[in-house]
Amino acid sequence: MNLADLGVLYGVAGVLSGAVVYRSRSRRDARAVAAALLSAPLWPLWLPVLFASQRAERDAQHSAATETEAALLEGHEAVRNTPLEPLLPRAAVDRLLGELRRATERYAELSHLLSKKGFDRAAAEERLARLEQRAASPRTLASARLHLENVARLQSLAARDRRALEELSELIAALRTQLVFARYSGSSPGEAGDIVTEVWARVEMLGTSSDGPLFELDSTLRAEEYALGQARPDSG
Amino acid sequence: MNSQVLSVFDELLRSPRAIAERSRAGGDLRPLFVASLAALVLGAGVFGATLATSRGGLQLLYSGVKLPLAMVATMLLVVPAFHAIAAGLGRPLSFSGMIGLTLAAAGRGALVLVALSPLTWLCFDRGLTYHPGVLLAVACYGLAGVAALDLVLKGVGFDARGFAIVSLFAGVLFVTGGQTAWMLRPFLGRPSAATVPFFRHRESSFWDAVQQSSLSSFGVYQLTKVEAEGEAIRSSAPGPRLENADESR
Repeated sequence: MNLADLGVLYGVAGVLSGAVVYRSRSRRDARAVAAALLSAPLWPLWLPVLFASQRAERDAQHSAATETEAALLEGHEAVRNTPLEPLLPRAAVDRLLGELRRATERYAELSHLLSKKGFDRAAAEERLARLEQRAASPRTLASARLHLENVARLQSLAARDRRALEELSELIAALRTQLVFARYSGSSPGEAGDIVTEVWARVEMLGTSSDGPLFELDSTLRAEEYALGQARPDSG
Repeated sequence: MNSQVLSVFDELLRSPRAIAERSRAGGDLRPLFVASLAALVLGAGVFGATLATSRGGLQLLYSGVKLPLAMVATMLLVVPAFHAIAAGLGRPLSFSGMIGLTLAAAGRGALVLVALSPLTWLCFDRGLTYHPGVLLAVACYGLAGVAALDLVLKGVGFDARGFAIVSLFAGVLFVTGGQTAWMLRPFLGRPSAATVPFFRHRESSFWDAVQQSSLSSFGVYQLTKVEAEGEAIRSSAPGPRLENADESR
């Protein structure tokens, strides 16, 4: 095997790597193309970095949830068997943990859903523009618009859930330190009580957004929008 | 990611320790990879083109493309060896961390080459002849290599074991990088050549060239068999002779 043969083999491996990287991306956007293009000539260096980074991202998401749970349990441990225990009793902790897990799972599901090809907002926008350009029928356009709006709604739901989880995570971390401080300093639990109230309020909000019948809502909206599309003057 | 890449670019020059820490920690090394690769390609490209100012013309483009190519090809070859050396001597880093560290070091070295480009250009512009020019380029590579190895040393640990790892790695890097660059020459260009080739024909090796260049810089010229035959033909022909007219690095 000479240098040219080796070069050909390297090139074939590069092309295959590029294809695998492109197909493995949840979103087929410019970044996916860039990652694939980088893989083709530099696969021995780029692929290990790419895969390790993706794994680190997944681990970070998982550990964020478990960190919040750990903070909650530590907060409870800090007040267990003390006069402060009514602030964060075990039953409350269990309920909070349940709500947290439910919200985290819901967010993970939404994120997974949005990473699928059919839920790509850019693709939906592009499709709508293409349909408008080739003067598709009003019914087709209405459906495409509805699809785009649904994707946008799902994205905003996911963003809201992420924000709420982040805020709750920070609040629980503050609650833990406040309870530990109150226990060791013997100070008034007033501030910790305020934080507990705030945590419950946030959890209730999480519950509200979780309880929403997302797909029922979508189907209702779809019907309404579709009807609107039919009723539009330009619908013929 | 763009802002992350820019901040890594800054860190490559100002905080090599932070880069080394980042590589050791692992995690998302994509910004480090992209920034280092960009620094490597741009830096080596600029220095390659600067070296070619002694020849000018198409050689500027060729050297600007080939020097980054030589450095990237060297990285592809040496990273697994570096990983094996570090693991064998008891300092295992993750493979992706090792790639990040090595590439960052190469990027830093390339940025040092950019810093040395104006001086190199000035020297060639003031009439630096061919062999001293080659030695100047070697000195620049040496300086860049020191800056790069300093970063690697910070990554593997600043102690006796770290020194041993870096010394072995430097040996592998020197031989591999030298031979890779040798296969992709010319970078400076043959002074007497009418046309500029992208690659020269394969002849001798990097080590032969090091010996020959060292002797030539002291005025001792050794001819290969092919060159000796050419010399015999030319000595019978009339016309002026140019110093080192047949050599190129």
